[in-house]
Amino acid sequence: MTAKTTMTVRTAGVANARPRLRLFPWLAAGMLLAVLVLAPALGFFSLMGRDALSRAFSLTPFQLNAIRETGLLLAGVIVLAGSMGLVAAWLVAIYDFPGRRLLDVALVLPLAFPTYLAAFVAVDLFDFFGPVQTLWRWIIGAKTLNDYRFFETRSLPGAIGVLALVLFPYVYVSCRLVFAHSGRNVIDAARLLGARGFGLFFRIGVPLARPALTAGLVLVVLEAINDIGATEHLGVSSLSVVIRDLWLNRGDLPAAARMAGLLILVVALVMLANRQPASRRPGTARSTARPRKIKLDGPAAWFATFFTAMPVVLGFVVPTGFLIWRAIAYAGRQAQAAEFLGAAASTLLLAFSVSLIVMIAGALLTIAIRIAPKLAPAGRIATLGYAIPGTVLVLSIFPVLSASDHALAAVGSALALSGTLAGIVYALSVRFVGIGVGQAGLALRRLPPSIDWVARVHGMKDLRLALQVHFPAMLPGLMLGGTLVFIDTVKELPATLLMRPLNFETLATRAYAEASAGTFEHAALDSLAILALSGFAALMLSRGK
Amino acid sequence: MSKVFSTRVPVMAAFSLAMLASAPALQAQEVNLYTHREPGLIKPLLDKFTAETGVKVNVIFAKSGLAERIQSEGERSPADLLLSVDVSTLAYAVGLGITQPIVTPVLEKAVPAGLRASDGSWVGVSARARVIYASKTRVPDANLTYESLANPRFKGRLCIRSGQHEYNTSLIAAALAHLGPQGAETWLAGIKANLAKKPSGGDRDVAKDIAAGACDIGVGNMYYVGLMNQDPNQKTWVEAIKVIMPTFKDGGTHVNISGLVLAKHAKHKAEAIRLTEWLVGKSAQELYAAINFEYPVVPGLTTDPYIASFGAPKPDTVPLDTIAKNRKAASELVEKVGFDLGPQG
Repeated sequence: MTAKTTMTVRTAGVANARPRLRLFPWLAAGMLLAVLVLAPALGFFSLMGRDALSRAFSLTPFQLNAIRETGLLLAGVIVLAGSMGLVAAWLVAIYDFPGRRLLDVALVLPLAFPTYLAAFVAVDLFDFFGPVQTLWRWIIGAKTLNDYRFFETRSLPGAIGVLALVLFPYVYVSCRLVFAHSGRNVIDAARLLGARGFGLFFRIGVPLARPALTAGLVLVVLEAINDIGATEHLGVSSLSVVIRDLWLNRGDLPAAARMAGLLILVVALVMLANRQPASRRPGTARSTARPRKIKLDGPAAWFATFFTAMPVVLGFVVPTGFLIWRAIAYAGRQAQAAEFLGAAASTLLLAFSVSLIVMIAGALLTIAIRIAPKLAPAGRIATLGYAIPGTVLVLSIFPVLSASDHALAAVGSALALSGTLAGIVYALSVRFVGIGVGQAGLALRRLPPSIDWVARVHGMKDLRLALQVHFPAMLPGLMLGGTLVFIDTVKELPATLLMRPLNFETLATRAYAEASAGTFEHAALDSLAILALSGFAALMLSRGK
Repeated sequence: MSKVFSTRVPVMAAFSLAMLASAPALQAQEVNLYTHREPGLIKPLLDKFTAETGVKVNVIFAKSGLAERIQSEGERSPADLLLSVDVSTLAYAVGLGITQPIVTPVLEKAVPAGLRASDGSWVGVSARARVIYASKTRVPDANLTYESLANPRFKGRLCIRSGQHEYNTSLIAAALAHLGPQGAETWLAGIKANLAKKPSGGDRDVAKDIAAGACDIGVGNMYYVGLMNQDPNQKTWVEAIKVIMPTFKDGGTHVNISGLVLAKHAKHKAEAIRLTEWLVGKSAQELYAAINFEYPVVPGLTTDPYIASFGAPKPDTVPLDTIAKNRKAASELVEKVGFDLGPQG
């Protein structure tokens, strides 16, 4: 490489004499990003400030109940999604059993389901007229609800089940990575020393996976806490639902802002829980040899297959099959080809734009933090967008867009951001940039700081260091982050719905419009297309590792 | 390579952003409609308008928050009309100061005074009654009042969607006008005590739950019965229920509207007024009523025969303006009695 030759020509000792001005581009980039991300927060406070008098902090029993229900929902989802993801990752990474190869890939697929869609499908599958209860009545010979008892899907436990089933892959993907790669040597050593079965799992696997488990669960919690579509349909008064009701149904902005402030506080605590220690053991050793898996036989093998297959069957195969059946049954009501293709194209355009911008922003910010560690708070600020409930974020961005439009108009520009695709791309980038920064940061942290020192000693300057050392090192993380953002954008609702230009439809907005009219079957084709796009991207996730 | 990368990426990013941002277009023959009503339910109507007048209708749908969007867009807002499914939302938009009155001789002549604001700030284009769905076999009554929903004989037998949904807040707002704050609270607490399950789902789910036997009685808008009746999958639900047109003891049936407000900074004001007037014309009214199973706002026009079979409602005496004014108090009452917590809460 050319880098090598230039490096040898340079003299050592440049690092010490580095003028401070060099940092400027990185500082500027970091600050700019932080401002762009922070702008909605300012917008939020500007909204809150409209009625400063009634801001005294007081919670009604109903609002307290919303906090309680949200707490129970999150606790349930954490336990269920956490254990499903962790155990599945462990089984798939360590053991060999029938169907393992297929399940290894398929376990990411439930991530393709938007939560609201999963909720609609779950209700239709499991309610009185659905196939499950119909079959059950046939088996036990019952006629009416008085003859038997059955699980109520539209309930808090129902919501926990639905959310956990489509969100657990976040945990699966991150734990799987640890078991298969960085933690592999520890596990192999423990096996050599005689650890087996549950002992191996609880004494070695669980502690090893803890950081990855936390990282995965943070994503699960943030998705669950921001959800409105599913929780509302399932009758859970979550904080996000209550905030939306207070704001948009009652028009009580200060009360909504108070609740939103509370929610953001909760989320900030969650994010704090995920703060990785700054100095981790540099460069976890990796064995290059493919580790042998423990072969399971008999009942143990079938148990492993059953346990890893259930989440896939319940979280993807059955609901997808149901949607296909609905699409056929309501074939005549599905979208015209032109509308459908237009929506698919818009969805792709939006998802690619947002992923690209998040990846660029994530790369810039991560490198800036690496070169100038003082910028680290900017990285945390960047994740703020993910902490604000979607609807609140959108309404907070409105004042920002309108201010920038006024500024643009003042300089005589005919361009405007409000109600344009650029406005949505901005909003979604703010929302998801934390994922890009987080994943890129994780990847770059695996590169020991000593590499930077060596490069500097050899006279490498910031830009070359960034492009030739840091960028390649964090590329896998960036790709992973970009893929996650792609999936999230394809499924995203509140921002896309509320900010899109006239006549602009994505697959998600079409599916939601029908679902909210009580006829989601009419958009079964759009729903299947969402699944195809995000499912394909989810498969890239499992290939990427 | 480094040079190429460092300059091209930002330039490309800036360029693509500039491509995505678009200059606001100003064409003569179009009108921009923001709607809280699902696009599928109005599309045939708008297509017919375009076919007849040549005026293109650009649409954006969201369940809520469009008034806030218009407010944020300010003077440059492309919105000409906001269509909403509840008078409270229309009045809220008026309160935000983002609208201007529409007063034309055509509208004044076509729409009765009660179904449009006296100052022209909003105008109804269709009307709907909030009725009782009851089991054909398990509820013998032919007539019921809204008050009777709180009767202990329905304990554990009643289903309804969230009390914070605008259809319910408006009904409760009407109850506030009839029964007073104290009376309305007792009434709502009584209904809560009668709930069979936590409020959830939508109006269609009430019919579904009655058909399934999870409850015997519930509240829903009358047009859903028509919509369910034409859906092969949902017809069985309709067959299990009957529609009772309830009244308040000292009043009539709660009738709400879907209606329009004209945006303050409408760029296509003429076309917007043209669309509004067209919507209250005879053919549009009958088509609208036929597609959505609603009542025309213009007197003397045909209602769908299936809907007509429920009996003609005797609209409540409480003016829609009062309903809109009581909305916040109604929403607070729902919270106060813990309605959405369900029977045990």
